[in-house]
Amino acid sequence: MKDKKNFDITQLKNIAEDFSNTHATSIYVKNGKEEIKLKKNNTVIFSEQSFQFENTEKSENSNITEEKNIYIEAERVGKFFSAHAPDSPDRIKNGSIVAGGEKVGNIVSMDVIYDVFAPFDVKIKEIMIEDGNMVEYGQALFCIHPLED
Amino acid sequence: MFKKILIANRGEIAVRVIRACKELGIKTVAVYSKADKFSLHRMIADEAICIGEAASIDSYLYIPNIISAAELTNSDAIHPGYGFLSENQNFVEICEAHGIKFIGPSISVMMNMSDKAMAKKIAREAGVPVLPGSEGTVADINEALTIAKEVGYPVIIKASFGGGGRGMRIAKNAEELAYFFDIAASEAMSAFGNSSVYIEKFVENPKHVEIQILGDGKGKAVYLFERDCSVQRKHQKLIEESPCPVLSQQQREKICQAAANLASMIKYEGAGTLEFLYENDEFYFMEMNTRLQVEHPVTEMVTSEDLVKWQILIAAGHPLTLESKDLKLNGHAIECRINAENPELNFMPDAGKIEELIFPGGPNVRIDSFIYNGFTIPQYYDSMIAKLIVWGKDRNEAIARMKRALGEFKVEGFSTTISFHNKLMDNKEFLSGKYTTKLLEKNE
Repeated sequence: MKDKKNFDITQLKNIAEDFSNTHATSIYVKNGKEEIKLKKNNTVIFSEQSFQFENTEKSENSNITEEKNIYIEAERVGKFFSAHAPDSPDRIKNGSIVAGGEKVGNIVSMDVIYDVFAPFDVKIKEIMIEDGNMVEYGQALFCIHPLED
Repeated sequence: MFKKILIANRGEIAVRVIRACKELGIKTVAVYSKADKFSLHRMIADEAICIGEAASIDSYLYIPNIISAAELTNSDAIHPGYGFLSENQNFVEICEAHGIKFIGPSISVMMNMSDKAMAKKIAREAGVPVLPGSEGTVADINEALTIAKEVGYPVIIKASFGGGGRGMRIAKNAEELAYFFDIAASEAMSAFGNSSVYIEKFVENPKHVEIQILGDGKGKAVYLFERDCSVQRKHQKLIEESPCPVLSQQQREKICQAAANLASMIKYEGAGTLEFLYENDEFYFMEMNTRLQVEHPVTEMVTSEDLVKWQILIAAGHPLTLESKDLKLNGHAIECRINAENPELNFMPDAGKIEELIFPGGPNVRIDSFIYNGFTIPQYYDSMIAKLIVWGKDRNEAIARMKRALGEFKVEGFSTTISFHNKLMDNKEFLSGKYTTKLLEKNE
């Protein structure tokens, strides 16, 4: 870059455009006494298949996927249990309709039982965890579909 | 021996502990925050459990999720690394209550040595030289003024339960002491939840020298010599080396033996470090860190002992078979802490994605790190991204090797302190070995 006193608007615009068209995440440009540093807000794109190392992580968690699924997630590490016994008529199944605030399960952590509630009126699309299994923080427990008012 | 250990930490120290466990044939459980989803420690452990959000308080400091993770994975023991919960007595107590072995000292030892005023009292009883000052916590300004008059100004006011320079004030006269006393106490309260402070004679231009010890918890303790950690910026260590370049063999043996005596007296279990100020051929005990230190690799390089393995073996009840008389200082080791900081902008922390990474190699070069090509450094935690440690037959060879290794080390994507370390390796005062904790202040 030529040694001018200041960056002009056209130069700044060109730098920003060139930067946005590259895969670089940061750029540093010096012009005489002036210097600018640009950074992109990186979104990590990391395929699970590209992991060099595997471990026994139980599941991949996310709030919303491409299909706009919504999940009820574990808010703590513990052992999950359904809200009702397997032979109970109230046992939640795939397709069950659950009212907002209704208990859908428990997580037992350090000998304390914590309730898991439906956040709003929902239809259970899929139960994603079996009774007695360990859950980690943020793990998807139920895939749900919100019911309209 | 333990079958499975949970590592309650992140970053390079989690990787370091996992490596030691693997070499001992012990299964490992990593815990990680959502911000550390792609961190190396999570990927190399046998199992990994997400314990919370990015903020440390919601993850690495959130005891219920860590204990639950240990219970549900049937972990026998927890290694706390350094920082986070490594010196948290509540955590040790909860581990014990749940039948999980905490790899570190007992609660009572931790409690006594974390209270700096109490630690000083114990040191005095063990024959370890301490700075003249208050016997323990200072009750009020009147007591502080009386003690300051006895030991002479300047004096330093320190938080009893603090560290890292917080709750610390230097007073050159009675007026300054009266002014700073309440400020230091309230700063201690806000930073450490306890307003207790103590005062001692301020040593103006010291070296920071620390002694590494190992204890078996039954009264046997050995020393693994000293580290010189005088290259500091705002009380944060940047470079450490072993041995200390200005100590005579006689001084070394005397202070190391005193440190081992203290560890033996308190029946210390595991790895610990006694920190000293050193000025005019005199040592003054500052505090004991009841955990593994960041800079432990320099000791490992000059003694050929694996401190993390020893921590695990001792915690599992194996006898401490080392003897101080058999341990020999071999050569010289230096460690540079590579931080994601901009030295040109007052060491402002930086973060971002690693665009290109080349680690140095060759004989006697060690890297302890958790970063890799394409990894994005989370902005939520400590800025240290790697420790570069080198060994040489003598100090000159170690410095030459460090310069060569720093020249090979390449991290693109954000600022690092590599260039700063490179400059320092040419600094005349550093090269002389006679530098003190004022080195960087003088060169700013």
